[in-house]
Amino acid sequence: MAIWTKIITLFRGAAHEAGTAVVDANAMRILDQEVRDAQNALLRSRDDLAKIMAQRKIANDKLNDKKAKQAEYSNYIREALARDNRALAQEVATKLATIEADIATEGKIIGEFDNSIAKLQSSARQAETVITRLKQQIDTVKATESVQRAQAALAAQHAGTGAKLGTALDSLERIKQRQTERAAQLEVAEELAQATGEDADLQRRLAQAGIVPGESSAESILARFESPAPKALNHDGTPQLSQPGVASKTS
Amino acid sequence: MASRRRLTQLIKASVPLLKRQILVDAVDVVPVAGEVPVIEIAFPGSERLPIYVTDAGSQLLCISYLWRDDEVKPRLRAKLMETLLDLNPSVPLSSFGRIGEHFVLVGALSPAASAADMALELATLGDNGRDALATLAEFLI
Repeated sequence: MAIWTKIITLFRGAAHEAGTAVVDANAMRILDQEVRDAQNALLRSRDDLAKIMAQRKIANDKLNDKKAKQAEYSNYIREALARDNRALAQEVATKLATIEADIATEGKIIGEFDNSIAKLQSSARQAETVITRLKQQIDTVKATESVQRAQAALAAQHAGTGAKLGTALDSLERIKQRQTERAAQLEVAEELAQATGEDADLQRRLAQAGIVPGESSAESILARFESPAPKALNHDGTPQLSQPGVASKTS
Repeated sequence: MASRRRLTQLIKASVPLLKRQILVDAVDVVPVAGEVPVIEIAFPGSERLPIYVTDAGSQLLCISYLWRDDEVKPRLRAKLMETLLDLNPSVPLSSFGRIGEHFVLVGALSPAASAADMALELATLGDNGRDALATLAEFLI
């Protein structure tokens, strides 16, 4: 079964439980047991591996002994033939034939051991990876469950002290309130801008109607100069120019 | 397994960095008693949601609680699920999830994360939580 399928079974049971349980406690116990079983199986398979490796070592030692004998007997045969002792060479050759047959058999056995070792090592590595990943996910599920308990406990504690609960809905309320305030500010700013605009429009229309003085233009200034000068306004009779923004000096 | 002392030290080291990043003065760090280390990080006077940090052994989890199942408008429930899945790849550093009956935002860090990593995670998770509430409020009762 895939790891995630096992994790999903944890949540399925919890869906039927009332309250704040994150996972089905019974399913969690079963899964914990499965992990322990898998770990034990892994340990047993490691033991098997160790036994097979020991057997392979024994077989290899035997093979090396036989190979040493093979070299030794080969030398004997060469020596006997060199001394023209064919009968002795024949006798040693018979023994060598048995040794070489044993070498072939041992070599085959060692090859089989090597295959078994490779398979066991590979499956042990795979099992180890699966167990590690499963344990990691179970630990994560347990951690989230602890967070759930902590959150519930703290929420209850806050509620007990009458303090403002740090819940999402409180935050949402604060966000909404802030948004409402911002919207109100914008509305006021807009109204102000509109009012200023209306005032400006009224002023413009009043100026156009000649009720209030409008902005000075070259034409209006010329018109002022061209109109008859008011009498006794000044000692020298020159028109008095207003200079907005410049404070008049008095002496 | 999880080390409470190591997690507490990491959070404490990250708080000054976090304050600078999110421009808040008050960050409350509250360790919670229990078998697995859990630390609540709260932002009093702010609309940021509290964040719960725990050490799950193979990863550090940072979790913000959004809303409960019964706070979702029933007729918009499927649409909300779709929206969360659609949003998930675009949400920086966090993912939507569920713990029990609660919808949550979760961020995960390596157990070897630095204080700067943790500060960035907490700041981003806080921003994401605020954005999630503001954006998805229409799905809530």
